[in-house]
Amino acid sequence: MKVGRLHAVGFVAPRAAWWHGHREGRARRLAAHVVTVLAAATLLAAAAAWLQGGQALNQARAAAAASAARAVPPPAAPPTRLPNFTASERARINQAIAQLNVPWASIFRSLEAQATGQVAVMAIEPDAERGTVRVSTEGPTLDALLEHAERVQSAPPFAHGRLLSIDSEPGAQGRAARLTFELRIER
Amino acid sequence: MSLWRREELAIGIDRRRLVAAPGGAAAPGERWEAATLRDACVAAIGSHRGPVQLVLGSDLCRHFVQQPPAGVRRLDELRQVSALRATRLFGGAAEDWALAADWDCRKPFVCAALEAGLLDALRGSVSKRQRPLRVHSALFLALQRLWPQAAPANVLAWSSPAVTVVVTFVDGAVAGLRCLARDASAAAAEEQTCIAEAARVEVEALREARRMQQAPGPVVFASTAGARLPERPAWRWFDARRLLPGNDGSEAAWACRLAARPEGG
Repeated sequence: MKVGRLHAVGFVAPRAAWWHGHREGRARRLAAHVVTVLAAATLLAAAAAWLQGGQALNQARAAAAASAARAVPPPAAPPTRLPNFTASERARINQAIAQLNVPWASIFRSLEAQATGQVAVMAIEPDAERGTVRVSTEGPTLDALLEHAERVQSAPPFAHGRLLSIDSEPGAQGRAARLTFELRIER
Repeated sequence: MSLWRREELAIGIDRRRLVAAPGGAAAPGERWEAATLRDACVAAIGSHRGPVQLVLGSDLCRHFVQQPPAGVRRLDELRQVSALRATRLFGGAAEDWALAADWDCRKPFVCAALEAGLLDALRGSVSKRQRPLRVHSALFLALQRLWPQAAPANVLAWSSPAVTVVVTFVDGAVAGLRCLARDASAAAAEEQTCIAEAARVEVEALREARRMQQAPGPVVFASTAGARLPERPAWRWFDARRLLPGNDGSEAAWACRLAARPEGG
């Protein structure tokens, strides 16, 4: 049979009983002191680590701000060296670019919109350098052709037209006339 | 003497006497009153500046075993229950008794009761000087020193000049406590006195066993007589001279020597 411990307890609470407890004993007081010292040391270490962390953070921020102030601008891009083209090469290149920029879709839409049963469009020749389109039409009567040319020149993307040639000789299939006119394209 | 530790002044107080360790003594007459006790303590402390330990004899301090009621979980409830039991055993009102115990909600424990007025007087004797004060029951101190001997026994007994204490254990916990008044005039060291005391203890142990409805167990008697005592069945004489002072002198002197003696020496 084993009995538990009997703790020495008096009628008067020991000094600092809130710290050591109400049971007396040197070992108990020593244990309370050791625990208190360890707790205080832990708190101090935690506070020191927190302060150090804060200082390190501030230092890092200051260093980042200083480095940003001293930031060197990025090196300028090297100048682009254009190849040396001759005048004729340059002209051909520009011509090709102009050809590619001809608004074929709007030209066809406009001509289709003005088409009638009396007029047949025989040729469409763009001149990209001058920004014009030469149109050749055929029809039974010259009036119909002229009427058609007037309508086309007033419709977008054309600005105005210039009559180039009229051919009123009767054709093999009974056509009365052939008309050629030039239209300037609006930019 | 260490620079950091001050010597503790031990003072033993019984019903009629006060004895201080350096040799001072005081006697009020029949019994102590609060005022006379305080004055006697102040005089005994004198110019001492260190801690003071007041040890109360078993004829001044009352003791009983408190069985915690089922469901009690708070210390203040336990204190109230113990105070009510003290009034039932010793009379008076609950506020008339100051209690000291190793409070435990799970198993029985020994409780010491002192008149609250006397405790206030003892406190008042040192409060002006603000020195650490300890007030203990001599029975508590003796039981604490003899506690390791209780393991193999069901009954632990010892004697002081005023009382013979019989402590009964059941399942490792204190189950009963009896303080038998002694004849102070009897010579403490005589063998016949010890045998007579042992006989009383045996009778009391049997009575406690019958009360608790269990078989009487082995008895350990802590003797300070130093005499060669006869062997008895189911008994063990334990030489407690290193733990307890001899029974010569008054209860106050015994308590004073008990407090002044370090544990184990």
